[in-house]
Amino acid sequence: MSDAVDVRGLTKSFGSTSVLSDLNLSVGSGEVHGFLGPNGAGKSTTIRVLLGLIRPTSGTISLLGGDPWSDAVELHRRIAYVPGDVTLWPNLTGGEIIDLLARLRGGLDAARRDALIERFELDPQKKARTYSTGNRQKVALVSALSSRADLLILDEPTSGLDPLMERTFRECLTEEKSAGRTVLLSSHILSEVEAACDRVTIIRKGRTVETGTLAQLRHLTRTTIEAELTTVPAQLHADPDIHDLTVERTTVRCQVEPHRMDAVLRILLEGGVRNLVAHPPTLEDLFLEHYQNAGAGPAEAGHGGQHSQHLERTAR
Amino acid sequence: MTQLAGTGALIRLVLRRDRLILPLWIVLVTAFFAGTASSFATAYPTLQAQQDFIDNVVSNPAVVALIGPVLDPGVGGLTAWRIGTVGSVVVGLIAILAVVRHTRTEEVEGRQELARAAVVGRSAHLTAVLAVVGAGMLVMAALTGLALAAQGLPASGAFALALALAAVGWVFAGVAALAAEICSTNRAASGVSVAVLALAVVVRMGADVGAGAGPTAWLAWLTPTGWLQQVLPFSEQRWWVFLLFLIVTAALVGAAYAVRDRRDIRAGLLADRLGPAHAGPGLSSVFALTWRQNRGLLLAVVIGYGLLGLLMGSAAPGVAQAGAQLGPFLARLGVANGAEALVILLIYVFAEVLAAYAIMVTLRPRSDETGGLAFVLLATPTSRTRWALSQFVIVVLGTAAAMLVRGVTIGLTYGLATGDLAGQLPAAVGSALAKLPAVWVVAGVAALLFGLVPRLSVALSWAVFVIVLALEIGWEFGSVPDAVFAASPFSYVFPLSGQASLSAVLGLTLVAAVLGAGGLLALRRRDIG
Ligand SMILES: Nc1ncnc2c1ncn2[C@@H]1O[C@H](COP(=O)(O)OP(=O)(O)OP(=O)(O)O)[C@@H](O)[C@H]1O
Ligand SMILES: [Mg+2]
Repeated sequence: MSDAVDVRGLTKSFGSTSVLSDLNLSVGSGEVHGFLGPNGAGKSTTIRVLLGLIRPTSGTISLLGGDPWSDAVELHRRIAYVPGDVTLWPNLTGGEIIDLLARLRGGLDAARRDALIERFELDPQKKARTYSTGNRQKVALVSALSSRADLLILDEPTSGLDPLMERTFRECLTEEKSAGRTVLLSSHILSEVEAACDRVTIIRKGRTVETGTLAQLRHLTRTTIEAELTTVPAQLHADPDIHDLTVERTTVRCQVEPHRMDAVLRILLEGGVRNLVAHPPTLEDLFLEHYQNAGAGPAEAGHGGQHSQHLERTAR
Repeated sequence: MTQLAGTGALIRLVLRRDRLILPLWIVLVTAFFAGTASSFATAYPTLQAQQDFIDNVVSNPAVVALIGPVLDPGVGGLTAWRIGTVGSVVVGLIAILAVVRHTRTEEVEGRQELARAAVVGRSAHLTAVLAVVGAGMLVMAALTGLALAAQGLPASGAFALALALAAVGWVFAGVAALAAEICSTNRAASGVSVAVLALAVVVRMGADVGAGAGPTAWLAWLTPTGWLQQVLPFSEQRWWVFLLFLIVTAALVGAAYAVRDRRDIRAGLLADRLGPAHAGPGLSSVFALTWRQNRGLLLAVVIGYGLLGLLMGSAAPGVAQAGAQLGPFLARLGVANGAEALVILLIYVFAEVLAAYAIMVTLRPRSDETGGLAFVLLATPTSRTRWALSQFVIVVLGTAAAMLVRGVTIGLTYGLATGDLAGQLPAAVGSALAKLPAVWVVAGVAALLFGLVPRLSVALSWAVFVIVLALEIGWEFGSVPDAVFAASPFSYVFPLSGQASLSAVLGLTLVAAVLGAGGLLALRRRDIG
């Protein structure tokens, strides 16, 4: 099956400011794909390119088998979009807007519309100008989720939702997934990404730095080890595979790259292990690592960068 | 005083945001006023020449009703006469646009909330923009006064006239401030304010139907444009008239502050009611959506044009009875009497004013673009062409409806009053419709600018409008040659150039269509946002 989204080497500059440079993104059909990156990384800009709203400077882009710029209208029949900053027609009610957008797209699932309005506790009779931020977002979400689109493009859809609504959104996402819809989800909420996404792409400064499943990303990030030893082997200090080492009497704490785990454990065993805890990086560690190192492109980004190259070659 | 906290910072913000447009307007307006005075001074250098001009042209009741009577002697009097009404409109528009932009628009787009969360008082935004507009008007007045005095006009008269123009600006800043507090959208606030401005001009026209001495002359005291005349800057210099300006401005501004104290942020004076939970069957296309967004303003314009048509058509015969001698002016127009000349000129002038509506509506997609609505709409299977075209259709049909209604109402009332319905009605309708292509060309220019240079399109389109008005006035008084006036689409439908020929009408329509199509093509090729 061909990919729903396939972006290669996308660049985009506005005048002399380059916003995207060498961005790669591929989303398989039926996949829920997380799209992550620090503020200003270029996520919304990429999405606007995918929607044919702005024209790429260079790169090859295929969206549902078409070209987002020249086939925009045809493609949009199969796409529903929730913008990061939802603006609505102030004098129309939420219900009117949902219906209008559905008719423009060519139809909606009326039962699903009503069910979603219920689930998101949206009052469809209010004029859009009187909606709160979260309620405007709900209007856009109900509109997108009740559409029959094959691909949902969601740009930080839950940034204004309360935790209860956020949970509702996750349930909806799971349903979409089992219904076989493809979702591109840009989000800063890591637990949401972890719960819903099959694969993620992380970009920084307009460039893809990582892409793969969460397990793959985890695998490429250091594991933290805490061990209580009888004696601390001198070798520990010398080993290049051991990072951020702290030694407090006989308690040792350090970080180890997963593929060097075996070697490090051998060294520890020499000191006589009384207690050992190893935990994989939390999702937060994972992202922080990629979000930081600002200023370095993937090639020279040291640790994270090496992995990204490695991963891009092996992940798919 | 805590209500005003942060005003200083906000004043700097207003100045920063308007750092180009504000000086530009001041310079343009000053140049326009000074240019008018200089063209009179060159065209009519002697008192005798000035008197001849007044006898031949200004004694014509049609002209008097349109522009007002000449109340003061000399070049000063002529200048005050000629720029009084147009100057009021220009200054009023500037004040309205500036005040609404920095109050209700800020609020609707959520920026005011951001600022108000800082140490910024409830009334700081309003105060800041009023301070900037008020002071800007004073600067304009000082420059205009200097420029007029430099041309040899009596200095005190020059400054009195310039100050009176500034005072008109203050009143409309007050009108806009109050409207922005009462209306919950910036569009409604500007719409209401512009309507008040239009009404002010019409009431002034009503006052001058009897050449300044008729039974309706008292109407002049009801409108800021009338007060401007009554200052009599180059004869009596009634400084006490400024009290009127100040009292009314203070009352309007005071009311605005009072409303502001009583309402919530983002709310208008009236609470929003609930609406339908489902869209009606009609709301199912871009065209339906565009109609829904535009119908309020369109209906207001059409009804306004209809009412004005009724009013003027019935008032016009009175002009004939006020009975002026037929100047060569009428002969050039090719009409029998002052009343008919008035009817013809009123149709022409209101077509020119309609160009402002056409620009506003043509550029609406631009504000949808900056506001983010375009992203929502264009992410559906709606092509950019359909999106913009639906708006252009409103421009074409809306202006056509306004001119048709204007022609019918003025033709009907004037025809009934003169007992020549069969002759006047078709003539008025034909004359009204023949002006449309010129309006469309102006809209076409705005459409092209929207496609090509979206960021500059608003400022440039309004500059085009001002240039069209300036060419018109310059040409009427001989300082703009025919060849230059030909740059204005209105030159081809001006009543003096004979009946607008079929070729002019078709030619202008074609030009407008080409401009609009160019705008659509450019829109298809550029980034949105
Ligand atoms: N029209 C434009 N002209 C110039 N720069 C732009 C334009 N649009 C976006 N940018 C810049 O491109 C960069 C990427 O913006 P974008 O909105 O895509 O970021 P993002 O990843 O969505 O960030 P966030 O997480 O904050 O939403 C930003 O630095 C922004 O200033
Ligand atoms: Mg974004």
